[in-house]
Amino acid sequence: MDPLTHDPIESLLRSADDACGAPEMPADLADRVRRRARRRRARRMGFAAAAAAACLGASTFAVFEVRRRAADADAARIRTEIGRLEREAESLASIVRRMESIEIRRRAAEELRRIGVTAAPAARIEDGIEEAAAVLVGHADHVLRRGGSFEDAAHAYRRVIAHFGDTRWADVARKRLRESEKL
Amino acid sequence: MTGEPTTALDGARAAPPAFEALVAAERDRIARLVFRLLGWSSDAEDVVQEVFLAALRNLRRFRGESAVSTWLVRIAINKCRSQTRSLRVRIRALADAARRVRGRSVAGPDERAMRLEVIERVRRAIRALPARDREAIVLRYLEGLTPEETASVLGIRRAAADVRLHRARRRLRDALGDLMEE
Repeated sequence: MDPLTHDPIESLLRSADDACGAPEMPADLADRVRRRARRRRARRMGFAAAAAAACLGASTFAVFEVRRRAADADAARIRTEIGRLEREAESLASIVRRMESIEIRRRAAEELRRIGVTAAPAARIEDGIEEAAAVLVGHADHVLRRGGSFEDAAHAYRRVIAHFGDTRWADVARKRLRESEKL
Repeated sequence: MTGEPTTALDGARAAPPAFEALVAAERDRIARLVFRLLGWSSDAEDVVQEVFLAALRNLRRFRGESAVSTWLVRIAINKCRSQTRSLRVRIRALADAARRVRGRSVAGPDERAMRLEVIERVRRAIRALPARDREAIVLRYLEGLTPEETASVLGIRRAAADVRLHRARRRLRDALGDLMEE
């Protein structure tokens, strides 16, 4: 061994490499590689089929879920709307009942005036008319405050002006109509 | 690629050969390279199959820009890098270490030429090197490539190959210095 060119690291590595020998490879290596390739291809195709099935299932589920949620949302919206309409109808029915009562008392007062009964009952009836007009204006104000239909509120104000034109609430209704139309 | 190897990795640049012929011609050389790159590990056959599997898949796309043998060496280097990163190999390395502690060995037939302990220490030092440094050492000293060929196969510049080689030598000297003095 030439001490000038001797490389101890290379020498050590070569000695270890020689000692470890050569790896043994099977004679049918090419066949084994081809079999491995076929197995990998089959596995890939299996994965692809599973992934496609999973995607299909997921998309089907998503479609059903979207439809179900849409149906639920529609049902909730309809229930809310029905509740609102029921409250609206109850409110209107209450007003109608009070107006009917007031109308009956007004006609009774007119009848009493016609046959010359004292003014005290007539005054009470006038108060009732004022009250009815106030209720209508209050209802219309309530509709507007809740963000309800302007047409509904305007209709109520016009009824006050038409039926209770000689009360101070008719002036209030006119004023409200003007203000609302400006908006 | 510049600096194409002309000696140790000499090979035909014609049309790609049939797969079986390719395996028959290159099997032993690639097996030996993989064996060395893995630190003389018993995992070599599995990695060799992976090398030729990659070759089988890409044989039609091989454009003959380099020798088939050089192409296979590059595939082998990449597969060995992946293999050394895998959890399975780390687990197997731990098992090897345990086996060493118990005093058994899987060394080759010529182990009488070198004491078992020395072989194991060299093997351990080689395996402890980072993959890129180990590649430079194996290609340069065990595969017998010139520095230019080593750089070419690794796809790096000569200076970078020299740096890897120098770094690997320093680490080996640190780990095996006492063996070199004997």
